[in-house]
Amino acid sequence: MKRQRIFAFVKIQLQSLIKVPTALFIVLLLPVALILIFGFAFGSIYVEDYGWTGQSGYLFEFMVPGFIAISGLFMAIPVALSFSEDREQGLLKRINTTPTSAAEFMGSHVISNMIMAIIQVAIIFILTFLMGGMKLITLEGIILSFVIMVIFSLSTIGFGLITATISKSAKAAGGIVWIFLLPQQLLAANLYPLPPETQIVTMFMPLHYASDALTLLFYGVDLSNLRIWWDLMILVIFSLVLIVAGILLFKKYGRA
Amino acid sequence: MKKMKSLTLITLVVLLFIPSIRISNAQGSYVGIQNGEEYEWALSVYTENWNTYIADDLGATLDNLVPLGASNLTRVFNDWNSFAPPQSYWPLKVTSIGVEETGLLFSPDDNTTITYMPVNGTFGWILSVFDSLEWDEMWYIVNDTSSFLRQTMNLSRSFSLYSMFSVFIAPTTISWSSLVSDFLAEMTAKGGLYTNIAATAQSNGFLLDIPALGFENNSAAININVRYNSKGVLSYYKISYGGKTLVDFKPGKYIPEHERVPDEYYFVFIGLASILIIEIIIFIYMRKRRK
Repeated sequence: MKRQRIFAFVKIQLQSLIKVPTALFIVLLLPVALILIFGFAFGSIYVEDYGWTGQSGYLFEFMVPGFIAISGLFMAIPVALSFSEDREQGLLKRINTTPTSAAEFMGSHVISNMIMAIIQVAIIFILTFLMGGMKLITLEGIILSFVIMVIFSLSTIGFGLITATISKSAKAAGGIVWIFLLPQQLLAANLYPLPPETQIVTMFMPLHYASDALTLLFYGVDLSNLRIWWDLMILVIFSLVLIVAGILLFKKYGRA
Repeated sequence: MKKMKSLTLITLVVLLFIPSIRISNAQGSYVGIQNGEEYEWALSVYTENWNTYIADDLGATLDNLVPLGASNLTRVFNDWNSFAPPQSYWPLKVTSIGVEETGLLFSPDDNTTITYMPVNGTFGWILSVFDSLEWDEMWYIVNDTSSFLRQTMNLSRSFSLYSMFSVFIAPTTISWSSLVSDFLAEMTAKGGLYTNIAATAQSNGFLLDIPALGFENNSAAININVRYNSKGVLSYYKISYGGKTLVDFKPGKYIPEHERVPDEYYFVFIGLASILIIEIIIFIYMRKRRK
């Protein structure tokens, strides 16, 4: 595996992300829009005994961890689109004829997604801080939030690859990817209280673990809390399961 | 001129540090705790173990022999028996340690002159189903073993957890063997049923054992275990009846429901780990087949 080749691919992928307005909008502008819209809409609504924590505070503060996690989930869209487009344009076949290995190609996707996750979270954090949605989180909590989002970004690659495998074109991938995203977005983001039965369903969604850990960190829960580390551990395994599943499926059915 | 400059610089540096210099009261050598320290205990009342205690009417017996008023053991049961153990968590925070005083601390019950150090703090309880409660409290750390024995009312406070709350902090210089021998001497002097109480010193506390029928109508043995940590703070309390724990009180931290690891997490973890292993096996198999 050559590092130079991987970084060349990373550069290309990041450049393509900047050049394609749809991808840029989804990865960077949509989260910003979410924070701004919901920040202004719910920033002044004070609620008592809210959600699964039963705490009191501004509604926007309760929603912020969920928005951060959802933003990370959106990264599955450009991944699905880029793999489908690469296949449509015959790029994957051409790569097969070059010395570049599949691992190098996949590795570059992983790295570029991680970089995007870091940039995305940094932008959201700055914006959220300016809007007063980060009152309790500690510095260690902020650092851990970045780690969580970077790991979560791996699972979105898995979703992207699975979508690219089952969709025949990039256009179809853009729609199919929502099968994976929408249920997670509506159920597992901790945006509003859910009955216990639904909470169990969300445990089969990686977004649950990201938003759960972020929620705890945003409420200022100490890093010694075991649940945060369990969330992180399950998220790591979930991401690995999805990315390996994505690679296996894409290799077998998706490269034609 | 150069000397003057250096002198000015030194003066400025010294002045700079003056606000950070704090004058604190000298803390007695028998005081182990520090201002700002926090402790927390979990209280467990094992309701299912109280049947014999209630059938024997032991509450009334203890009230006669070791009168503790409203702090008696039955009150602990009445307060917490409707919930599952641990029923409540009790956080204590030391907010200030006072100046050493000498006086009649236990007057009018005991007119012995005692040297002690008052400790101010907050205390209370947390229970998941109710709002937590916190209040200001004052404790007194006495300076020697004999004073501590007096403070515990000849260890009778150890017959109820609530009563132990007033002797949360022991002097670090305490000799548990002396405490126990002084206690046994007191019990012998008192005579009667009190002579049936056996006491044993531990390295950090004491054990009290009353055999079955030692208090006449107790059909089972009463065992009390009390321990303090190296700072003199109560670290363990347990009272058993017939070998079954009635109440225990030990260090524990309250974790709200939403901060606990749900049981489902373990199943999800095992499930995902299994899937990952299968995937890796398939991945290796596919690679080998391609070669």
